[in-house]
Amino acid sequence: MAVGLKIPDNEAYTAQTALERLGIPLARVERSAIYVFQAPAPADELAARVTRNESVFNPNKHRLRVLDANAPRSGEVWIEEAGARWADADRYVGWRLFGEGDRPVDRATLEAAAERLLCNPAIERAHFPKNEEER
Amino acid sequence: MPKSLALRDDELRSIAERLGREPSQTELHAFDAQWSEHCSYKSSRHLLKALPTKGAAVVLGPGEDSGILHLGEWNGERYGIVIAHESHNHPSQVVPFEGAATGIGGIVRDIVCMGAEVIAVADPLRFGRVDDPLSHQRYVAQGVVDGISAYGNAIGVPNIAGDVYFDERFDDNCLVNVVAIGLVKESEIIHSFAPPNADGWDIVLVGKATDASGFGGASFSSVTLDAADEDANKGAVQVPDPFLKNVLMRASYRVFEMLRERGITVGFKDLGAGGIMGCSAEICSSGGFGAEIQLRSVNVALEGLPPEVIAVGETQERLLWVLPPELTPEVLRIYNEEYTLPQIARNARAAAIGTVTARQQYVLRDGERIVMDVPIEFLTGSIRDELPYERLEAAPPPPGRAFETGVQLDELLERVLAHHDVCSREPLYRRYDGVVRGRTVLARGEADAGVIAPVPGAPFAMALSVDGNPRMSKLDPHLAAQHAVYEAVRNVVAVGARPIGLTDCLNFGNPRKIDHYSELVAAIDGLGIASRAFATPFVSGNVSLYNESKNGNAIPASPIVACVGAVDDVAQIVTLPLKRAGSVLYLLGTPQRALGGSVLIDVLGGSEPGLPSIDYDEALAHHELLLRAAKAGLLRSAHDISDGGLAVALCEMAFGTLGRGRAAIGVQLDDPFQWTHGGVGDIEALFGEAGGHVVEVAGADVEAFEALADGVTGVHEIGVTIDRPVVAIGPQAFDLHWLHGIWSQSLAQVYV
Repeated sequence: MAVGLKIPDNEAYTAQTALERLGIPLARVERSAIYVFQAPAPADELAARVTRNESVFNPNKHRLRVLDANAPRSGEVWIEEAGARWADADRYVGWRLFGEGDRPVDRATLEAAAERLLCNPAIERAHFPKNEEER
Repeated sequence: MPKSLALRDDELRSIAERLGREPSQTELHAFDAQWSEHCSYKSSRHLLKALPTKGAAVVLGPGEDSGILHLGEWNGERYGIVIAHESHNHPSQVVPFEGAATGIGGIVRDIVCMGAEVIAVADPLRFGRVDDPLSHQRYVAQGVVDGISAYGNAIGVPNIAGDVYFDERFDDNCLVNVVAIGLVKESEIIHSFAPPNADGWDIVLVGKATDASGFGGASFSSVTLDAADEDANKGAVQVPDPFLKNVLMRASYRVFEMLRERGITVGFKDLGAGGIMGCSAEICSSGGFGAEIQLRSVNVALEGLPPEVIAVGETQERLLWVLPPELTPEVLRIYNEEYTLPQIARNARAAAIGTVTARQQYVLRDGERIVMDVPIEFLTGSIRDELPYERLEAAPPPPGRAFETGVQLDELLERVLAHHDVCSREPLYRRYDGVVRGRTVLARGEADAGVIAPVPGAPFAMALSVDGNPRMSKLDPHLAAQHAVYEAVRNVVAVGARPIGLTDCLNFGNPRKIDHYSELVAAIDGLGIASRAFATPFVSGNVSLYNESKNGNAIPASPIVACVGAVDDVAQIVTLPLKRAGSVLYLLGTPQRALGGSVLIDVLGGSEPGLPSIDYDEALAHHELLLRAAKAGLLRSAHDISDGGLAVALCEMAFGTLGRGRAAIGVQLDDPFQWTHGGVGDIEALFGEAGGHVVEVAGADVEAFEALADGVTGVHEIGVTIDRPVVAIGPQAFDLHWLHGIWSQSLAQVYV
């Protein structure tokens, strides 16, 4: 599950501006909260679990997407936060970066963005798309 | 007419008749915003005129974005305190974090646009029942506090005062009121209107790029709320950006400096309800001008926005200048180059978007096309609703009997101290930075009012308190409004400050329902009575109506009052914690039989008619006594008596001695019968909420204090401070640590 903002996301824009100043030009940045549930369950049941928790999902400002796979999408890095885990779900902050032509950035750009800004290796861990074919 | 508009049929007819044609889409949205209750005060403005607004300390009364009170003189400069008071209730119920954060953002702009430096904020809050951790009410109560702290902390402004109440009648409509304080040299005030020579001047928009957020916000805040209606609530969702605001504030301070150097008078106003249209129309209209705006010159966040969205949308973090054309390039340079706005937020900038005109029309152009062309006075000043109301009659207290609870005193104390309206607020306010900027003298929790010494080196200081008791308002809005003023004044006096001015935020239900409107009328009358009695005028305020949900659940009448006090010498302020064992405790106040609206009645689960009355002559005499005693250095501590009554006040004074690396100080209260002389029962004496103060006087100063008190009625010696950690009431002693544990836990479960 990916919970993103449907209102303007200042944090994503700040990240974009900072990355551009760090030498990574981007067309846009999307940020979302990612929940990966351990127990298999129908997507609508999991979606209902997320949407019932108001502190996670407020329909007035959030949108929910059911992801195809339990892994970052092309151009996306998941940042695992220490201690941000639910009892039966792993939680990440997903940053999806888009470059020229509004296409997801390549792995090298993603790794550079994580290293320079998005991931603090002292307390966080970055997860990248498993392979470029997923694009 | 678009479904989202709240204009009534008679209002639509009136617009068409005056224009002599059907209004355009943009005009419809403009009138919808400008004639909303939120912008126009159409059903309250004529009532508010009855409030006293003049006084010795008033530099600027109601009418602009903020009021200004004279605080003191230092090095040949007169300094004013700028104060504004707003609500962000509807948005906070729908998106608590963003709603509350943009509430702070908006009120801060009201201060900045007077040419002032923002020095403090305060947050009176009202929430529903929060016991259920999964309830919407808990989510709202937590999100609001997170939003206030996130915004206030990020812009580096201390939060020095506030209060919070919890009641089921706020389940569907929380109240998020915000107060902001600024400091300005009185010779450098900037006004929210175009100056007299402004014909042909530039209208310059500054700040965040306009987007669709907050479109319809003014009318949204002026209709009954349905928190589940996602589509209707779009107008509520405003996006805060405190980091951009921080830069905007600093850049604006730089512009102030440039204006001072050049000695130029300009107009400056914040964009709130009604967006570009509302702000530009009001700043020009109040200067006696019209305006012409080119919407294509507005910096937008995305292409293709309809003209009505650009004109009326309520994107946050924007301000508007009226400037002589020769000054415009320099102002643009300061914002866009020196403070690099375009690099801080997407397409943020300062840009000239229009012209002030002598012609009394308000004109919006979208390129070559005119999308709005209306008489500006008709847009900004003509709407008024005369609504029916009835005189409310409140039941008096039951006559002549002492109240019996049938509950042991220890259990009563436990239940009262644990009550959400009484318990420690520290779990909530510890999220706020109360001391940033280094000018805070008394932060929250240290006294009844926050105190700031705003001018470095100067001896004077400013005190601030906010108050309004919904338990009282349910019973009697007229008297409760008076109590709101009385308590705000009392809290300021408790720190040794002389009250100099008030603001109000009047939060009520649907004015088109006669019972709700009657409450509003009664409350405004009550505010006027108390304001006149304490010779403390109102200099600013706000009205928030339609705090009612679709299911008909309306808030209790909620007049919330802020009081500013002036301290001549910051060295003479008085704090709340007891200081030494062996002091004598005095009650300045007269307990009454009336227990209506008290926490005690609430914890007993019953109801009791009749609020305590206010003896203004006696209250004024007590305030004067307290201020003279503070000035003479006779008071070791002082505390006002409010929620939970005298018993709670004494406990809180003793709690303040815990955890400070010294031995705790306790209280030995004499048997109430001794000092009430049987005038009321013990329960009324201990838990009644008629007001008053407790003061601590050193044994050596008793004679001097009593000399000052000579001839003042209602001054009672009630006990002493002791070097044991107990609160003893007559023969019964209660362990201070046990009491403190109860008091400190209730909200800690909500604000983990």
